[in-house]
Amino acid sequence: MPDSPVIQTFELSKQFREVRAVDRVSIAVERGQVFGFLGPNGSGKTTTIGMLMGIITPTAGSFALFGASDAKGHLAARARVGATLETPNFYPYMSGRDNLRVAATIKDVGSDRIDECLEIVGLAGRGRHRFRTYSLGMKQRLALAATMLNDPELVILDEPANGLDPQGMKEVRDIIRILADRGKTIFLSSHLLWEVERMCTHVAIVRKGQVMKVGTVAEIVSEQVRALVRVEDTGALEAALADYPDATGVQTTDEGTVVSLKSDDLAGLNRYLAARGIYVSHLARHQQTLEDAFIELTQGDYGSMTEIAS
Amino acid sequence: MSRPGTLLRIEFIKARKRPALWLTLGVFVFFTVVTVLPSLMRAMQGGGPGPPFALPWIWRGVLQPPINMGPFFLGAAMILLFAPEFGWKTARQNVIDGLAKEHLFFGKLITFALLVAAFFVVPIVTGVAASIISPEPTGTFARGPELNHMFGYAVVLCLWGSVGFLLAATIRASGGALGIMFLYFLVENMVTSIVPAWNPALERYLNFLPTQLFDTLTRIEFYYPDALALANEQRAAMGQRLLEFPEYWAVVSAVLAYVALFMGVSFVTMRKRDL
Repeated sequence: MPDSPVIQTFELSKQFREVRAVDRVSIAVERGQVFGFLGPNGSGKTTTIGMLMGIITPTAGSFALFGASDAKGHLAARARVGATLETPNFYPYMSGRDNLRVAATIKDVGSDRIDECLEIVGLAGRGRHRFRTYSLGMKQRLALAATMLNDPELVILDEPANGLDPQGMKEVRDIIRILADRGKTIFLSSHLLWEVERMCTHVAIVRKGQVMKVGTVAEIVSEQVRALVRVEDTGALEAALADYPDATGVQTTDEGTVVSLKSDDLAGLNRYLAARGIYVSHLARHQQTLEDAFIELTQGDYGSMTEIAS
Repeated sequence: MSRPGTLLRIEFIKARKRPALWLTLGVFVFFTVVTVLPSLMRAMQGGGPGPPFALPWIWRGVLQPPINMGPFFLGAAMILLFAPEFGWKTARQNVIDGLAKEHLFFGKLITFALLVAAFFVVPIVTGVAASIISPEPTGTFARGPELNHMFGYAVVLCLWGSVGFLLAATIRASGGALGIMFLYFLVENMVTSIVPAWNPALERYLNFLPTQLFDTLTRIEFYYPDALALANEQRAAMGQRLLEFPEYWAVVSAVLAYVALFMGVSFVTMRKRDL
């Protein structure tokens, strides 16, 4: 089925006792997309991926992988997928190479491919060492090597840069870029919004198990015209904006006051404020970032803002 | 490659460098040799009372404690090879990589079968080797009672292997599963010693609990009429109750039913539960 989305979910849901971890998620990932799946901790990202990978049984809804929507089809479709969930999952007493041999046997891939993948992720020299002796960065790279073994059409990565130092993050990013350049479809769950914004073509933002917004990165971040305003008396500004008919929202940030507008008539806003005796020291169009959109959509769910900004 | 072949290869890669397997098997081999060695030494020094230490009589001397602890070793080995797959999340990764949950079950079933074979072969090879070394006259490999004894030993291996399998699949942690296995062993023995005093009619049913079946199938008196007659003679002299056993095939069938039940529950658990 060449025209089918690589991943398609239909009202996919998962209930863990009282907790609805995933709530009627419907998304479609087309071939060649680098799809970012974003959400705070506990928003259902890993559970959704777990259902796609057959390790968690959905409570309701369904999904299709490469157009296949039954259990037998899912199993066959998983042969075209390379995926890793949360932390790298390997046998600690076995070498990196033997761990890849297990994965290669499951995927029915020859051992020459193991060497190639170890080479790509820079672990050729450590392949014979036990997994338990690897640093976190090496473990993540081994997980990436495992996902690449079968030269998959779809790569699913759940927080691949978790716990990595900046150099490790760059290495992971480079590997993802290589995969994307080779035309692979990539489904990436991450906290690192600036990473996602730089790498992904499409994004879904999830909150409490529900998809809040889905679309291209451009669609997510630029639907609303915003102005960044700096004045001496913020209180007077906010009072004045409360009556401004073109304003749809006001948000105070460290940078200044961000005003959401119905149109991009910044001159009109300036005239309105001046007429009320409020003279701005700074007035400029404010480009919303993915981080802004994410915070807006998941407001209140995030404990640590540094995690987003890091 | 066929699926069973793939599963066998995967389990082989996982098991061959697993220290827990070789340690458990090594300890069992040590116990086997320790069990056989005194009888062999005695035979080499001219033999003692009782049947010769050579085929086919050798089996009642080989398949006795502590070799009869083999099934527990096997249960422990099964837990140590299976349960960590959940803690390490490698079972989950195997499924992500392309196995179905059912394949995971059948892969471990292969491990189970190989473990049973290994724990069966060790005393058999040791017995044959001891018989070759022993100067006492060697006869046929085994007769009816000895074959029943060997089969009974294989069946209890399956019983405790399936207990280990079930606990690994449901508890999903080595420590907890091993703890529950030994706790169950203690609790069942307590129950079977207390309950008959309260209601003697229940004793015949309690004899069909797993540990009691294990106890029956590991007693030489269960297989050899001369050994039973001797034991009862001694018990009568001491005023103790005489030994009585259920029918051989009733005991074996009960054990095989337990094995089927435990494996069935394991299969359903593996299939239904999230990883």
